[in-house]
Amino acid sequence: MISLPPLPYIDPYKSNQGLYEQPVSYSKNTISLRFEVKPAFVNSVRILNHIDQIFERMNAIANLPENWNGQGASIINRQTLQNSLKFLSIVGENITMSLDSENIMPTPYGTIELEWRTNDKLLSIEIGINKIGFFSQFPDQNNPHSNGFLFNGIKIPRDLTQAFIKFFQA
Amino acid sequence: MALKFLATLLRRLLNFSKRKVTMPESIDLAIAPHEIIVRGIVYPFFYSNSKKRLDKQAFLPPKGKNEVSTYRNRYANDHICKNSATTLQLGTNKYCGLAIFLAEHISHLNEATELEMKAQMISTPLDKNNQHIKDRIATANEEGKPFHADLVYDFIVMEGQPNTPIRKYAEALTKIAQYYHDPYPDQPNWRGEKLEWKS
Repeated sequence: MISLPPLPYIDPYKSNQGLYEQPVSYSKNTISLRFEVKPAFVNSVRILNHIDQIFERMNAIANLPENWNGQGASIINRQTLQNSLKFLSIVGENITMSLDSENIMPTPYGTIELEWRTNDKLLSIEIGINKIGFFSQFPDQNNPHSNGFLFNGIKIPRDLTQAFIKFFQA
Repeated sequence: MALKFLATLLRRLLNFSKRKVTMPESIDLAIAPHEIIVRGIVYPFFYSNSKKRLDKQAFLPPKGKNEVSTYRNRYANDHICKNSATTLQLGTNKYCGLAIFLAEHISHLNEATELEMKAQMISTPLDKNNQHIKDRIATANEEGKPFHADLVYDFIVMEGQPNTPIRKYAEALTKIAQYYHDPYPDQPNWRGEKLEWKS
């Protein structure tokens, strides 16, 4: 279990965002992964515990050795790890909070999957070095997907935003 | 005298024909549609213990490749499949069980219009040095993994980049596959429920 580092006090009236930072051991080096949290949530134990679980999972993924599945799997690139956390920072707390940390998975070819699932819906996102792809499964069989769009760490495309909205619709 | 000799000869011929001659079984490279295909499963990245669910990672190939290793239950009994799968333990992963599907399921998935690619099962018997036996017919009882087969996708994955078509295919296969949890993963030989397709 990764222990939570002391959090700086952030005045919600002076700052737009809080910054949660966690060192992660990565291939004998230590890198710092960042996850941005809105100030209103900085002191929420529930949210920080959830983020802690996400970091724990990311840490496990970051420390996978070469050939971790016995059949030539790649280690996960540092940029891919950073992109995954950037992505979670920009999709918002509600979406991040609904992500089960067990649904953060490395692929054998070095990308990271983030998945949201219910009994009849699936939104599966794959994050790489500079691109994100996704596919979905909905009861109406209208399943938006993308084979990959460039990810700049700031915005996610409209198609994916709409897929999220569809997924979280009642 | 001649009759006695002929009778003896006939008796010997009959005895010879009754004798059991056990020839090693040759590996048929054609995989029959109803054959059970077995994939070794490791925890935590192929299987979620808390959700009791197989993950599509189990059917994704590594970088620059388009094949996933499997075993043919026709030539490898449950013990051999388990003992071969336990060699997959590496890193933080641990062997936890076996997943099965039928060869014909791959043909069915190939007909699914929502999937943008196809795959096929190819028999790839391996010798004791893990080399594909191509120059002769492998036999079921020889050293190595003569029972080995590859699930071969018509799509080679790019390292570090999204590969949506193959993930969609693997997700569909994961929904079909049946997982058999190994109650004694640290011990040799399969002591779980017999591997069989439950329709």
